[in-house]
This record gives sequence, structure tokens and C-alpha cells, in this order.
Amino acid sequence: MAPDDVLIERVMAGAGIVGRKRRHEVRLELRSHLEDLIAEARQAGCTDAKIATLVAARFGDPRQVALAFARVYRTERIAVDLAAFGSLALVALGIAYAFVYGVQVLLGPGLGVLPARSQSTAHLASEAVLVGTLTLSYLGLYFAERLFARFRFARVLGLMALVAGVVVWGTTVTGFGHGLLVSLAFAAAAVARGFERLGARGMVRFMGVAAIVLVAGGLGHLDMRTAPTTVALTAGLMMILPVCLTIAVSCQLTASLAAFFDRRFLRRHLA
Amino acid sequence: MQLDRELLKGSITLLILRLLAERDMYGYEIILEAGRRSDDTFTFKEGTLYPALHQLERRGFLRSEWRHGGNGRRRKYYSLTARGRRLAEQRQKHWTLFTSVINAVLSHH
Repeated sequence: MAPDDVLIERVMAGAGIVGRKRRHEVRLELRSHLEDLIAEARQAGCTDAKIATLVAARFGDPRQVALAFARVYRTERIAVDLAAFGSLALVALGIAYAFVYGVQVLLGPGLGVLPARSQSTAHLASEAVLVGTLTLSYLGLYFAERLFARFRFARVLGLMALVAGVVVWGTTVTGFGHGLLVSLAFAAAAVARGFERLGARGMVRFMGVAAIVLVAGGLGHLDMRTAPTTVALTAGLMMILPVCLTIAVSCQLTASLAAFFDRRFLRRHLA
Repeated sequence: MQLDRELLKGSITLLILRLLAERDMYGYEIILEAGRRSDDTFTFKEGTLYPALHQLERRGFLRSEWRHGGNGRRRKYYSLTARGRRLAEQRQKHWTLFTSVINAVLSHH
């Protein structure tokens, strides 16, 4: 790749310009500028090496130019990111709910879980809160990092924790309840995303999420007012383990869907 | 003598509007004209011109169109809209007032 092409691509990589046609036009415009600059330098008798130095010096730091473009097109990019996140969230929630509910309906009776219990309003409501919070928290942690330039994970974790806190407060104030489930689901999503940021994927992420969901399920199903017996604990865990594993699998599905969507759509069309 | 960068940053919009008020220009032409008129005193990193042009266009002060130049090369020409002309006049008045006030303070004995 010619040095001026490298310069242009470094600008485009950080500019965050939305829309293939607009990105193409910006490339053409910058290329036209560099062609004029190079033509002027050749006319003045400059060597190729001198021209390369001159272009870099006169054009400026491509990162600064990219940042300036990113500021110009920021609103548009945020709007597209929000729309993309919204549609991905809907699809992910649909898949997660369908998977979790489907597994319970199909396998529940075989595990001794009566439909009256697994399909009761209370159970469905807590499950909806758990799966929904887990899915949306994970997607939020995955994509909201792009709002920040430095200390991305720490900042997005703080932002999402704030959102989760507001939701917990809202559920408490309105009497909806399930504040603990929201908190634990958010924690599970944070663990999953945290493991990914540390480089762990697959089984490690799965085990981390399963562990937290197990705790959530345990706290939700066991009567903690009195110290549960070992038998009660074991029976309780056997009841909720399949559900927790199912929810952990749904988190894996969400993570895979997010990565696929990001790779195939967002980075291709918006990078 | 190199001008202070902060002064330059604040002047780029006025510079763009003033030059385009005279005639339509493409980006490289704006750079050359600014350098020519200022005896190469007014220079800035050329890449940063384009975000400024795009910002002004998005705000409705400029319009652009691609044209074929004399050597067959396509270039994106910018021109002022009616809003752009009004902004150019306004910014010029502000600049004239600003510089006269500063000069008055600096030359006070």
C-alpha cells in the first residue's frame, strides 16, 4: 500500500463515519488532496523520500484528523449504534427467552419439575427478569465500551452499574421487586464480559455465569430465613441446576450473537 | 514567525467562510490561497481542514459538489449557502471588533 493510502486508511479507521457512500467520498476527497500535494512536490523537484516526509508533515497526525472527523459525525454514529443495539437486543432477548423456556418445557417434566411450577406467573416473571437483565447487561457492556476512549471496561462497568442501580431502585419503589435478581443477573453479565476482556472465552465464561446464576437461583428458591439443611440444599440445587445451566448457555448464545453481529455488520458498515 | 496554535484554531472557520465568499474552492485550493495571502505565515495541518469543512456543511453553511478539474481530476468544491454568507458577515464583524478592542488595549500607554 502506498504511503498516502496508509495515511488515508489510518484516518478512516478512527473517523467513525457512518455509511459506505460517505466513507467512499471522504476517501476520494482526502486522496484528491494528497495527489495535489504530491504533484506540487514533484514539480518542485522533490525525491520520493522527501515527498513522503513532506506529506506527513503537512497533512498532520492521522489520529488527530480521525478524531476531528469522529467529533463531526458523532451524533449520527451514536444514533446508528443505538438502533443496531436495539435490534440486536430484541433478537437476543427473543432467542434467550425461547431457548430457556423451551428447555424448561421440554426437559422440565423429565426432571420432576411440574408445569404448574415452571409455568407459574411468579416463576415466569423472575425468569424473565433474570434472562432479560443478563442479556441486556451483557450487550450493554459489550457495545457501550465504544463510547469511551480510555479505561473502557472500567468506565462501562461503572456506567452499567449505575443503570442497574437505577433499575433496582425502580423495581423496589414500584413494588415490582426482583431487585436481587436484577443485581445478580448484572453481576453474571459483568463476570462474563470481564472474563472475555481477560481473554477467557467458552467454558471459563460459561462456568462463571453458571456459578452466579446458581447463587441467584438458590437465593430465590431456598428459604434462607432458617439455615437450610444439607438435604434441602442438595434437593434445591438439583432443582435449579438445569435451569441455571440453561440460562448460562443462553448467555453464551447472546455473546456469540453479539460477536457475530459486531464482526459481520457493525465493523463492516460502520468502521 | 509561527502563529499561536490556539489563535489558529479559532480562525479556521472565519478563514474558510471568507475565502469561499469570494469564489467556490476545493480543499487544497483553500490551503494554497490562505498560504499565498499570508505569505505562508498562516499554515495549519492540512488534514484538519476537511473535518472543519464537513462540520460547516452539516450545519448548513456550506454546500459541496464534485467537479472535474482542468486535468481531468475530480475535486470536491465548496460554496457558501445563504446562511453561510450571513455567518461570514457576522464573523467578520466580530473579528474586526475583537481585533480593534485588543489593539486598543495593547496600544494603550
